[in-house]
Amino acid sequence: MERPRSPGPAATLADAAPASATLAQLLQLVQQGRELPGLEKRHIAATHGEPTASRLPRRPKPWEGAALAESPHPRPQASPTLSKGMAPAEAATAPS
Amino acid sequence: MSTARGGAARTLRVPGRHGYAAEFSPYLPGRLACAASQHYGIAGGGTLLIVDQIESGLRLFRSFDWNDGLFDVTWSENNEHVLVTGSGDGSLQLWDTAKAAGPLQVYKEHTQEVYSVDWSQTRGEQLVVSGSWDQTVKLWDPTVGKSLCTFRGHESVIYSTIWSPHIPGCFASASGDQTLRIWDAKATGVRIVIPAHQAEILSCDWCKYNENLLVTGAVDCSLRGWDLRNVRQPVFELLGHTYAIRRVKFSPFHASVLASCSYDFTVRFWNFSKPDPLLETVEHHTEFTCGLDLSLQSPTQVADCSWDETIKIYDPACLTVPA
Repeated sequence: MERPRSPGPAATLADAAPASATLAQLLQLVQQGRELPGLEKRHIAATHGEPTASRLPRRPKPWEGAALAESPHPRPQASPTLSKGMAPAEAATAPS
Repeated sequence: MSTARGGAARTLRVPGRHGYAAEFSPYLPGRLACAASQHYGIAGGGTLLIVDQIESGLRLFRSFDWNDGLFDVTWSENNEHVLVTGSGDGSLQLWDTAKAAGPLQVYKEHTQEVYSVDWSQTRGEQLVVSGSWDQTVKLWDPTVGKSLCTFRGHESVIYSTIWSPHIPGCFASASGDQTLRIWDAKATGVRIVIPAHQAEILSCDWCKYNENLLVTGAVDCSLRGWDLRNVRQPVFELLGHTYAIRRVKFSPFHASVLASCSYDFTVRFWNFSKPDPLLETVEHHTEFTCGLDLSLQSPTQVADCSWDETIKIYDPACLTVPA
């Protein structure tokens, strides 16, 4: 829907407000190979500049804080490794 | 379940720009990046919008244009000025919010639309993963001009690529081939293939408090939870959306809370550990709602963007009371 090959139900096009009618018209113009209104053709290229130097320290994520402070959040299990995570379990249950 | 409007959403109108992705800055509270496209992403250019929350609402800090539509954006985790976007022309762009002109760099290797970009979340790594409609995933060090590695295996377009917040070098991808895949960047191969839906999977995310738990959102309107220790069946299924789910994210603050946005125009909040898991349905858009993020600074704040040409920041009622 966004592009010719794209997910999303076609039915919503007909259901939706005026904005979707515009989308439907747009798709029709594309299918007919006609020029789209207000199409912006740009020729932007990389400046190859260096990024501005960082001045701020990285902030801990909320879940990183949970491992340190006493909190109601479940703590991540120890020593995360993918191989351990792949071991089959007797019963898979959602954490609470 | 309740149907409620997000109280007093702050709105920025972006005429002629259809929002695809919204991401809060990991550094600056209230700063938001939005990847948007002209003509719904079908044709024309793209725009990266940098938005700041101020007392009276939302203010556009800066905007950057690109030649083709922009479909996803991710902030750097080691420089508050830097972001990466993915574009319809198959390229990634590196931007600097402190400079008026950009992009600084363009990385063109994918042969079709780049639909997802994500900056690594674990400490000690500064890598970007990209997912494309060319069915490949690529790994990038933004200081290097070409990709480090290409991951093949998906049999259809890739919509979503997300780093594990806990396991270094591990990321997940979701695809139109109806699978969720877990990859190890160091092994350059797929580790787990999960046939998660019988429909295209548009989005996936990792739980922030359980390293084995992921969620997928699909065209079949369902969200499904997956425990990597046993992927034969989902550990939860959340139903309620009436059209395809475009994006899903776990809460940074609550282990069992997540949010999803959809082609049904709504944003829904869920707590999968509750018997009645749908916490709230926010109906404040009039078009496909494609971008969604939960603040890392405020446990109650949410941002979204839609093809109705608006970006909104709000505090849904369900997050202002304990989940």
